[in-house]
This record gives sequence, C-alpha cells and structure tokens, in this order.
Amino acid sequence: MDWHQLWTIVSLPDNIPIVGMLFIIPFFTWYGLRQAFANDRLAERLEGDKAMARTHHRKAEPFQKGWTREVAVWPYLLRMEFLAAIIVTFILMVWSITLDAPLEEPANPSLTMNPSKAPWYFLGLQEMLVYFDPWIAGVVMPTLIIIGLIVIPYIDENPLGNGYYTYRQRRFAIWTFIFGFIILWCSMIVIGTLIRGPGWMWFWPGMTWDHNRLIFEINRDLHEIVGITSQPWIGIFGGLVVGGFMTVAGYLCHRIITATEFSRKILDRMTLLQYAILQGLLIVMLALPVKIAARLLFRIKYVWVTPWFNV
Amino acid sequence: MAEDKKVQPDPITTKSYSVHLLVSMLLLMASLVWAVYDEVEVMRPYKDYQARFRAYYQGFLMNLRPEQAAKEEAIRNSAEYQALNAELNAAEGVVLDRIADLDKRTGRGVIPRMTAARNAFQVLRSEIDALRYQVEVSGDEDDKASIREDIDAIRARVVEVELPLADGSGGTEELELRYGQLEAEFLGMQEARASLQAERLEALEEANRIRAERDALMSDRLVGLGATQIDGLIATMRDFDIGIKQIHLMDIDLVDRCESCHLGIRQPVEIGPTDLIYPVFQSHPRPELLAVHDPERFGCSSCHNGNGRATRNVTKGHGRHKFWLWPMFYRENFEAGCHQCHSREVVTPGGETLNQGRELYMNKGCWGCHRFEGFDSESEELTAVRQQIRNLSSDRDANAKEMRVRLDLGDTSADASAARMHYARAEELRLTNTRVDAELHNLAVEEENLAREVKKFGPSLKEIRLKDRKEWIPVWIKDPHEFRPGSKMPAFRLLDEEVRQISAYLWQNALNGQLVQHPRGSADRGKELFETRGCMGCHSIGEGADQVGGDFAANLSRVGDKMNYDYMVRWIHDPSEVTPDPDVPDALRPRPIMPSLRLTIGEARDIATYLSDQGTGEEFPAADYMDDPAMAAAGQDVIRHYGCAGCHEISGLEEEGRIGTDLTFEGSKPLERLDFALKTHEAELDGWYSHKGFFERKLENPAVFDEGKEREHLERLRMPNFNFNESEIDALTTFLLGAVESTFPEQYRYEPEDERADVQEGWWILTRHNCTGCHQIRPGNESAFMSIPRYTDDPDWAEQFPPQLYTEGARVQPDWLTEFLRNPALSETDVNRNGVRSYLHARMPTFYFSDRQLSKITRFFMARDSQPVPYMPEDMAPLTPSERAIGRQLFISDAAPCLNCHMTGIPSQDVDATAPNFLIAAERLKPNWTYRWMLEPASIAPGTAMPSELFARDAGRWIFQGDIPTAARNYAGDHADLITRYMFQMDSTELSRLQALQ
Repeated sequence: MDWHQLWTIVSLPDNIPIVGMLFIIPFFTWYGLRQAFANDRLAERLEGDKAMARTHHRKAEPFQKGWTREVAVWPYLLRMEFLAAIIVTFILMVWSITLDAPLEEPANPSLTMNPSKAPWYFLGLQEMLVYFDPWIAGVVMPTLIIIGLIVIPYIDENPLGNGYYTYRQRRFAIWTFIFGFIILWCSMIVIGTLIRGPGWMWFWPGMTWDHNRLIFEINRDLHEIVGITSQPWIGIFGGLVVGGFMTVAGYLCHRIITATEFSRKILDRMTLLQYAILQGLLIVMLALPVKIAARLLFRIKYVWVTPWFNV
Repeated sequence: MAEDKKVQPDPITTKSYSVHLLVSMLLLMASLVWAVYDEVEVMRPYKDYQARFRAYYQGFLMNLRPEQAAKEEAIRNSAEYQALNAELNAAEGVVLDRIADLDKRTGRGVIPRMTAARNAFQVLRSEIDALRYQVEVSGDEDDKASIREDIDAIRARVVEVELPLADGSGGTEELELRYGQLEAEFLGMQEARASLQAERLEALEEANRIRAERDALMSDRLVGLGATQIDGLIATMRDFDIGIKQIHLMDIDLVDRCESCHLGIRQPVEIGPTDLIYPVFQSHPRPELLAVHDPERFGCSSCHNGNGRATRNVTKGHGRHKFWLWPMFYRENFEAGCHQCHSREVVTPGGETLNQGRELYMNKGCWGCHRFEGFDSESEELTAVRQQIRNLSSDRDANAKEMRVRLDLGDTSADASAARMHYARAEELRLTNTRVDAELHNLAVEEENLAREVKKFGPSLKEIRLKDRKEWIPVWIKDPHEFRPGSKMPAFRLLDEEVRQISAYLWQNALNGQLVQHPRGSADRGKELFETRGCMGCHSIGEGADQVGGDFAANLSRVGDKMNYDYMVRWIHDPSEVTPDPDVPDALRPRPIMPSLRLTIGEARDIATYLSDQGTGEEFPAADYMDDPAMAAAGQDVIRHYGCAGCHEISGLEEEGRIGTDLTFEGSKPLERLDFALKTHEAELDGWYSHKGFFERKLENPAVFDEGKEREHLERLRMPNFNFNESEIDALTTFLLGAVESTFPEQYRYEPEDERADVQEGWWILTRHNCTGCHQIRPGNESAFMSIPRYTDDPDWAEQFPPQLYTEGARVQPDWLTEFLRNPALSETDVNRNGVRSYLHARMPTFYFSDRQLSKITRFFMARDSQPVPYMPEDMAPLTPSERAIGRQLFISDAAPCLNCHMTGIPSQDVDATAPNFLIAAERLKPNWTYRWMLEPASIAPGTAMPSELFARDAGRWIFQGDIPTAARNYAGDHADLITRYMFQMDSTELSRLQALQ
C-alpha cells in the first residue's frame, strides 16, 4: 500500500473536485430522494383525506391554523438562496486562497505527458476512448448525450411532479438518471481521475504509479475470437452481433418501460416517434456498460469492424 | 383557546435566519479579510525582507561609516594629498576673480537677455508657423498668396522688447525689433553663452586637472567607499520604497524579481553572508562576473536558472518545484549557467568548475562514446572533407565523360552551328574540371591536415603484439583500475568469456612487425631523465600518496609489468615511428598524442630501462586462448557492442561510430527521457528526480539504473565505470547541466567573430595537448611541475620551471612562434636541445601539429595579448657608431648583468646560463615588449629571475642603476631603449667584438 502515492493523487488540486464529488453526489442524491419520498408520503395522505387536501396547501408540512396560506418567494425563498450564495462564496474564497491554480510545466509539443489527462469534467469522455473507436467515443456519443438532454422535455410530457421532489411521478426518469449520470458518467470520471495512471493503465488506489510498469494485455476483436478472418464476413458478423444486442436491449428496455401500471399509462400517451427516440437513446446508453464489461472482462477490442468505422 | 395555544408558529414565515445570516456574513467578511491579508502579506513575502534589509543595511552602513571616514581622513591628511590640495587652492585662487566675472556675465547678462529675446521671438514664430501650415494645406492659389502676404506682414511687424544688458550690470534697454532681428539677437546670445562657458572651462583647466589628480589619489588609496558615498547610500535607504524590484528584458521576455529579496546583490559595498544577519542579503560573491554581465542586460535567471517571476516563496522563486523545468543550480553547479552562452569554449575564464568538467570530458575520453559539439570536431570535419572529395571526384568523372560525348557529337555533327555548340560545351567542361582539380588539391591538403589532427582518445591497439605482454592484456581489460588505480581506461562490466574474446580479437588482428633490439641502458640515468626531461608534465609515477607528476597521461608505476622493452625504446625515442600499416597511407596516418622529446637513442634506452624496472614483476596467467580464431571472431562483435573503437584504433574497426548518446544538449533533454528505470519512484520520493540527480548517480555508478532490472547481459547498460571522485562528479554534472539548447538570441551568446574567437579555438588545442601540464598559461593554473618535489624544494631548480606563457603573445613574433612550435629545437640538425632555453633540463617537445593547428596556436597567443596578426615590426632607429660603442660597453658593464644569466652562444659561458639566448632576440622578440621587460620584469612574469629595478628614472629617461661607463652616463638617450636597439641590431661583427671584450 503506497500511501504516499494515494495522497499525491487525492491531494492534487486538480483532483479536489473529484474527491469532493465522491461524497457530495451520493449525499445530494440521498437528500433529494429523501425529500421526494417525504413528498410522496404527503401526497398519499392528501389523496386519502379530502378535507385535509383542501386545507393543506403547503406540500412539505401539514398545514396548521394561523399560518399564511401562501409563502411568497420574497423574502422566504430568496433569503435562503441568499444564505446559500453566501456560504458557497465563502467556500470558494477559502478554496481559492488555500489552493493555487493547478498549473503544470510549460507545454512541450515534442513531449506528451504521461498520463495525459483531460480536464476533470471530460475525463468520462476520455475514459470512453478506452472502450470505443475515437469516432464513436469522441463524436457520436457526446453528440447523442447532448441531443438526449435536449429532447428530454419532448419525450417526457408528464406535467405531474413538476416543481417539487417526487419519486412516484418520476420513477423512470430518476432511475435513468442514476444509471446514466451517477453510475456511468460520474464513475467514469472517478476512474479516469483516480484509477488511470501512466500509460492509461489501471492502478487500484494505493498502487504505485510506476512509469515502467508493464502488463500483459492483448485485446482482440470479437471476430478473431470466433475465427472469421475476411471481409465482408467480418462486417456482416459484427453487424449481426450489434443488431442482436440492439434487439435484446430494446426488448429489455421495453419490458422495463412497461413493468408497472403507471408506466404503461405513460407509454400509452407517447407517440411512436417519441418512443422510438427514447428506445434509441436507452440502447446506446446500455451499450456503454456492455462494452466496458466486454473489454474489461473478456478483452474484446471491437465487436463490429468495418472499413469505415469500428464499434 | 387551549387549542390555539398548541398552534405552533409558522416555520417558514416566523423562523428567523438572522443568526445564520450573521454567522455566514461574518465568515464571508473574515474570508475577505483573509484574502486581503493573503494578497498583501502572505503572497508578498519580499515586503518583510525589504523592511528588514532597510533596517539592517542602514545599521551596517552606520557602523561602516566611521571606519571608512577615518581611512579617508588619513588619506586626506597625507602629505601627498595635502600638497595636491594646496596646489589646487592656489590654482583656483589665481582665477577666482575671472571666474566670478564670467559667472556674473553669464548668469545676470547673457542668459536673461537670451530668454527675453527668445520669448518674444517664439510668439512671432508660432504665429508664422500656423500660417505656413495653412499655406501648405490650402488648395487655392489665391488663398495661398494672401496668407503669404499675412506672413510677410508679421515678419515686418516691429515688436517692442525690453532686454537686459549683456554685460551683467543689471540694466535693461528698450528696443524695437523685427522678426529677423529678434532671431539674430537670440542666436547671438546663445553663441555668447557658449563662448563664456568655454572661457570658464579654460580658466579652470589647471584647477580641474589637479582636482582630478587629487580625487584619483583618494579613490586609488581608499579601499571601499568614502564617507560621502556611504551617506548617499544611507539616504537612499531612508527613501527606500517597498515593492517589487524587477529586471525586464524585452528581447528574451525575461522578468527577474530576484532582487526583491536579494537586495544586497548589487550594493557597492561588500556584504558578507552574515553582515546583515541573513545570507539572503549578501552582495554578489563574485562582483567581477557581474561587471561583465550587467544584470540590467542579462538578468539573473539567465545564468542561475530558477523562476525569476515567482515571488511567492523561496521554493518557487528558486524554481525548485516539480513543474519548473529550470530549477536554480545548486551551489556546486553554479557555473553550469555559463555554458549555455559560452558553449564554444573549452576554457571559460572564471568558470573553474565548468572548465574542470570540460577538461574531464576531454581527458577522460567521454567523447569516445558520446558526441558533444566541439569535442573531436576534427573527425567530423574530416568526414565532411572526405565526402566532399568523393562528390567532386564523381563530378569530375561525369564531366570528363560528357566532354568525350560532346567532342564525338561535334565531330560527327553535320550542322556547323550545332558542332560549335558541342565544342563550346566540351571546352566549358574542360575548364570546369580544371577548377575542380584545383579544389580537389586543396581538399587533399586539408584532409592531410585533419588526418594529422584526428586523434582517438586511447592508444592505438594495432601494435599491441609488439607493445604489450600477451598475458597482461586480458588482466587489463578485465579491470584496468585493479592494475593501475586512477587509470583513464574505465572498467567495463565484462564477462570473463567476453574478456577472452576481446583479447583474442585484438591480439590476432594486431600488426606484425619487427622491432629493433636494443641493449639495456642505465636505469639511474633513465630515472634522472624521466624526472627532468618533461615526461612528468603528463605522466605520473608512484601510487597512492607517492604519486608524482601530471595526470594527463598514464601512471607508469607498473609499466614494466606490461610493456616490451624494445617497443618502449622506440616509442620514447620517436612516438610517431610506427609499424607500417598496409591499410593506411602514411600521409593520412594518425599521429600519436604523445610528442617527441627529441631524445637520443641512448637517452631513450636509459628511460626505457628505468621504466621497465617499474612494476611488481607479477606474472599473469597464461592466455593461450588468445590464439584461437573462433574466440577472435566472437570478439569482434563484443568490441563493437562495447564501442572500444570509439577510443582506440583497432584493425578492422576503423570506421566504427560512437555508441553513446549525443550529450550536446543533455541538460535540456526532457527529464522523462532520462531513464531512471526502477529508481524513478525512489528518486521522486527522495527528491533527486532531476537532471542533477540522474547525472550524479550515473557518473558515480554507471550501472545504477540497471539495478533490479531483469535483463540479458548484452541488454545491460554499457557505460563503464570511471571511478570518478566527488569533485569530478560535481564538475562533470555542472558541465552536463549547462549543456542546454540555448533559447537566447545570438547577441546573448558569446560567439565572437574577432580575435576573441582565436582565443576560444586555441584553448581547444591547448587543452587537448596538455600545454598547461608544463606551462602556466592563465593565472591560477598549476602545472604538473609545480607538484614535483625536486622543483619545489631545491632552490637550484627554481629556475628550471618551463617558462610562464602569460604574455607570450606580446613577447614573441608570430612567425617565429609558429616555427618554434613546429620545431622547438630551432635547428634541423642539432635537435637534441631546446631552441631557446637550452639550459632547461625539461624540454619543449615536438608535437605533431598540422599547419592549421600551428596557426591557431599562434593566433591564440597573439589574440590573448591583443597583438595584431600579421606582425608589423616597429620602426627602429638605427644605431650610430657611437651609440653602438656605448651599447657594447653598457652590455658588459657591471650595472647590466645581462651576461651573468643570458646565453650568448659561447659554449663556455652558456654552461651556467639560466636565461634565453638574446642573440635570437631580433627574430624572436618584439622590441617594445623587450623594452618594457627590462624595466619591470616582475610585473610581466611574477617570480621571474630577471632582476627588477635595473634602471632608474633620471631627467625623463631611464638609466642603468649602479656603476656605468662615463660615456653612458653622458649619453642623453634612454638606456633601456639603447640596449633594446643594440640587441635587435646585433650582427656577427658586433658579436665577435663583444666576444673579444669578454
């Protein structure tokens, strides 16, 4: 256990946000969900008790007599926001006084630093490069992510649950978020920051980042494992495998989407276009962990090799 | 109502957040205060430094002042100063009234009048200028004409002015003047002022001269600053502004704020490390370097490295930070900074550590494996010349071929004009080839020159069959340091099998030849000769504490154990005599680095006899395998692998290149490219993950980065172990750290084109040939002779040191020097002698210099003393017969003890001579140097045996001190000049007259 190495990585000013993220993201996820469940419980009580529903307008707490019926944004919300702004400013001040900008040595065009890491918020994308063709990981995926974020309001038209924390109304959205953002995106950032060392090799926390480390790692394309050696069979084989994956993944997604009464109701309200886009995005998202597993566990480089692109 | 009491207050509208707000606001304010404090104090630590410096320095100066004032007072009270002062007062007194009058006329008359005239004149002129501009921009001719009329009107306008009188009486006069008159008045006054000032200066000339003399006396005698200067410094400290002190050099974008903390660095007072409590405030320990590298022009970090911009803390400012690529050099490597601009030099004045590093690089043979620009440049030039010869030869052949074709075409062509064209082309080619031939001839000469100059570092191994004992060879290769501690041949990490293979290859591929058999000589005479002829300028003998002699060449303590007697005789007698090598034409044969001492064969035998007795008589194990051809075949690959041919001439491997990496820019190689191997992590943890750390460890143990590696034997690091000591490692590290690719523009680098370049080039040859082993060429360099007990302990030998060459260029004529270096015997027949100082036991050897090198060495000495090349003899007045007679008398008089020491060419007298033959003075020396030499030899060559104060000043000329003939006493001219002319105009008649008088 190389504590010195661990400390070097963790205490790097560059990595402070990531170390913070390790704690902050789970905390706020938990905190948000707690509020969501509390709201859901309240909603349930109000639904069961018509009299209470009429008198209880404030959603978080049971209404009591003598309270104002409505709470205005000013001053009651803004003062909290003001307080939060002050505290955040204070934290940023202290942070910027105590930690200097993480500048490194002057750039040398003839020498690439090792490991050569992107800014922390791009490390997820960089980590994806391990698993995909640069064309896929660098262009297609980021574009799809942005498109996906843009189309969310057009796919999810459910007006319920707007403006307050709720799990019941947003079950599907929350789980997609937890899977796509927290599990995939954030963990890839964490891997890229804390785990990937020189040569972009996998170093468990506490291992020495040895520049001379050698590991035996041979990745092969799927068709080589199967024994197909010539185009166009390689392309056709890969296409079939990818097609198969999409079919299976699409089916699984459909099963999940139609798992409950509630979600079936939502599904009924969607147009075919909306559903197709949703399915497409979900399948692509699912492809990521599948490919990660294929690479890390089975040492498969590409599944689908064509003269134009590799998947 | 009971229910009402239970009603809790509204948690949103009634809850007060005042405390939260207050606390967070206070925190925010505190962070603001912290930020300001951080910005103003923590990030600006130099403020504290500056406050302390101001206080300590003032105190220091206050303490210094009385001491300096007392010194100053003492000088002021000295008779000499007082005399000058009195003289000054007298001179000033004489002109006092005149000065007062001049000042009055200038101050009260001319200047006020000039000002008044100018003011009036300027009003008119600006009006005119404005109108002129309108003329220039106006497009209409009529307008122009009318404005011009306006201008003329202004010119004609009469202005009333009141002008003070020019005589300074204080009166004024009212005048009516026009534009032109005003201008004339103004210019007239300007002239008057200038002439008055000139007059004043002239009046004070004498007084100013005396004052300058008086002040010079003060500044010459006073060590340190005077009281007034100290007061000035104290005053500056009082007005000292706290703030960043920086040097900004636009052209290299360098910003150095070093002096924000190192405030004493450029103070005119010497401040020791503890004088101001903290060493940070000391003045630059080597102000002489600052004097030639003005920080305003060079900055600090350009020499020292470090991060000149950083002022946060010491670590950052000194660049001792992981991400700063140019950390400040540590004390032991300070001089590394010199090399990036002085990269053409092998000797940089003032850079002793750096020079030692370069000398080690040269004299430990590092360049045998590692190319470094400048070292062994001859072999690169030779390759280039040979390539050029090949190209030109093939051009010539192609031309000749085309010429034949054209001639044929011309002969067969039916068309007359076409035929003419072909013939013309053929003619052109013929002429081209003539030129090419001429060029090829020049190149051939150059090739020969260069072939003479190219010398591999180690001895040629082509002759080892004749030279060495067979069984000794593997023992030596296995570990040279075991046989000869301190040997320049490093220890390779060879397997026993490899040693055998190498030995077999060398043995079987060496030249076969016949050596002349020599009888033994006298070992006693040999010892005497070895110790006195000059062998020990390069070679040492004795081991450990007993070691005596130079370390440039091998230690010969055990040479008898390894070397054949007959070969040794031949080698000592004439190192250039070699066994004929069928592969190399004689003209291109490399010459050995060892020079010839022009010994007789008898002397050579004596020395060889003495040396062959040196050793332990150890018997080495038999080595029959060295005759096994299979062994030899394997040996070639091993020799190639270890790069033996980088330093040695080896048959069959003449064209081998260097096996090491080029080190010219090793200091600026990215750290990541230095292979720390398994030591990387350890180096990072222990703080030596740096160029310095790498070089030091690698030099100490070249195999260190193999440690722990699983590698095949042939994959292991090949660099052999030199057993460097600590100071050698520091010197080499300094050199390598300095070996950077400079980012500075050309004007910063020391790459002179003038005669200073001759000095740079000369040092390369001098260092390579160990001239400093015998001669002192620059102050501080100790020759090997200075460590030989005989020379230092025995007063009779004090005059036996080889001459100092501090001012050789001023002393001798360049043509003579070239010839002397070519053949120091100065004779084709009588070679067993020194040409100039035949009384010296040590002999100036004959080096195998090429013409090019001879001219470079000559130019080196001339350039160093700012002597023009070629030399133009000064005009010398011919001696009149009477002068000649006086000169002769003086020459042999007791007052001029010339003949007590100087050689005359008369054998009976020269036996006791201890100074050069002045009969060759005319062709050897420069008259004006000779003149100066006679007057004050000690200041030209400290410690010389030539007596000082032979002459005394008398009525504006130098005359001999002591008893001199009456004719000389009555002679009106300068005696030193007369003697010089006498010497330079000596001829055979005069010489025989002189001899007759003896």
